[in-house]
Amino acid sequence: MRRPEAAQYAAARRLLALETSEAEDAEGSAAVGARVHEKLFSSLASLVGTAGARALFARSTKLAATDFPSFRNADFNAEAPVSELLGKALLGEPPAVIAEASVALCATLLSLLATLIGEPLTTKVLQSVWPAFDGTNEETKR
Amino acid sequence: MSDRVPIRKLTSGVPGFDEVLGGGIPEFSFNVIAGGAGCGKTTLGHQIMFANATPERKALYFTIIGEPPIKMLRYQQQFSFFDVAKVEDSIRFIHLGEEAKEGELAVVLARIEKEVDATNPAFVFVDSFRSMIRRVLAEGNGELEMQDFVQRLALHLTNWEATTFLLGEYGETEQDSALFTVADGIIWLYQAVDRNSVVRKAQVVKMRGQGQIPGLHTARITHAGLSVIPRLPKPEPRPRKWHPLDVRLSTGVSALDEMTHGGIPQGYSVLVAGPSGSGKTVLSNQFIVEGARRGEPGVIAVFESRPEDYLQTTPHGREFERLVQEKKLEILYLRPLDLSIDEALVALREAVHRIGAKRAVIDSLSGLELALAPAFRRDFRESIYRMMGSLTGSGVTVMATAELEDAYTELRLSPQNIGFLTDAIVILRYVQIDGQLRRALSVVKLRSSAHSRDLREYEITKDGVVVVGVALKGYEGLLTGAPTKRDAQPVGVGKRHDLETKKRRR
Repeated sequence: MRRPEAAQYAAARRLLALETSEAEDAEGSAAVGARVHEKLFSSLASLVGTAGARALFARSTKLAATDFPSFRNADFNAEAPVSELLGKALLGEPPAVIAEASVALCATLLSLLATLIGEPLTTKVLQSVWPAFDGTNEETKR
Repeated sequence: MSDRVPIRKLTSGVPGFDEVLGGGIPEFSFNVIAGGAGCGKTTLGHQIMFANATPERKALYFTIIGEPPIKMLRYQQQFSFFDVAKVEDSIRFIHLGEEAKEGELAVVLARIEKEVDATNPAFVFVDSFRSMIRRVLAEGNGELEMQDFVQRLALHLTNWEATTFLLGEYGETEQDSALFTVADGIIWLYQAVDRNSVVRKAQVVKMRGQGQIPGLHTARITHAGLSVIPRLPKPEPRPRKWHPLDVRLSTGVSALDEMTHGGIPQGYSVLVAGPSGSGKTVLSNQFIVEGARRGEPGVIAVFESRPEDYLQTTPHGREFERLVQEKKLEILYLRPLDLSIDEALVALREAVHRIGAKRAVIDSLSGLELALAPAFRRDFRESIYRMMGSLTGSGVTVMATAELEDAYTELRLSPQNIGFLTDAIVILRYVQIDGQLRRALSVVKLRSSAHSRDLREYEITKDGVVVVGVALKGYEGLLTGAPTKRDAQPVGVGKRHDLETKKRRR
């Protein structure tokens, strides 16, 4: 699979922004990332089943580990919420790295979904969770 | 006012299938879509769903065990009916793998009920239902548990005013399952391999409260999804009362018109049978050209060459090109090797409608037979009967050509005994006269009408025109290919006979 495109990184940042409350600052970025991933997981589990959603996250962390090696510690065979598994994997990383890793993982997941089910359907899935989300593709926003 | 409860019929979204269903799918019905792997169950389910779901009348598509949902979404969106805009707004996909894994039908039922209660859908699909109950049925009291599950599911969904479809892999011997008793509608899809071809078929086994068209109907899956070709297409509205013998269509060959006492009666089917090179196509070309001249558009179905090649090689190609441009002629090329006669008929009827054709040529029946999937060739005569009946029933006069083997040891008037299916037969033969291979034609049948019994010599000019001459009189045994002049030696066979005698002596 190709690395996520700039538009997918931008989309991931917008998703995290949609999930960020006014009260949260950079310190809260780990919590924001966890919320986004948990919601994404829940939405995907409904669509493709828990096992399917776990497989998608496992593949995404594997790919994102190229830039963020801590993701190699994520064990998706363990029975725990996805945010907990990712939190454990990134334990000890500085908040700024966690924030960037969250963006990278989200972008990788969006890229993987776009490869498998297409950009429009991926956007639809995300909009079911974040109705204000305006699409993963820059083209669709014009 | 009728005191019957009105049942709205929903479109299946599948071309040709509503007709087979008896008008559509009854609203709030509980249906089973069954069949083997790869026969198109999921595609049919999706097609029905995308054709009907709206934001006001939502659909829930439950996937269980079987095809992973992500793959299903990946592949189904390749079909043109898959409208991504409807996903989430009108259609929700929900995977029940976790519930099914627990093995308790009650858990699956509870989740379905919960989602149905929350969404209030107008359509519910469960795919694949079969994979879920397989394990339950393997248990001792599995049948009872399954029956209870099906009853409760049907009751709940019908009371929630949902039209439901359970999709599942079922063998043909499993039709006695309790599920089939409860179901209001059963749609069975088949995919049969016959030699090198694959033939898809659809059958509406049951559809409560309405008259479906019985039997197996040809189905095809293309980029547009599933389409069904009804086995017995809706009869065309007959033209205003007419008696075929009152209106005659000129064949474009004046002598042949004379031999048929005025031409081919309107709405008749004519078989032009003859050996290779005898001029069957030329004769059928003249029939079409004459029609165009008289304001009677025509359709030609060809099977052995593409329309562009046909136009280049057929004697009237240039004239045909002009007629095609003027919409007085349509040339249909039908040559997938797994064609069904029903598809050929639908294509012909559509072409007839498009240009208001009064004449149709099938060139040739031998080519059509080759284009059919082996499974359909077995019913060739019955198929030709239906095809001819359908076209002529709407007032179209049909000329079909057929290759007739050069067999002079027997008198054959048509290949494969299809002669009785047509209203008229014209045979073309080679005869050997005075050491020359000459051509002769005869009208051997013209239903309910007098006709010439002559066997007339004819020629094909360099311009590709059939010119019929005088009757070959004074000969015996013309149809044997080696005639004799009355009270004389065999005509033209002397030299051959001598040669053969010499060969034997050597």
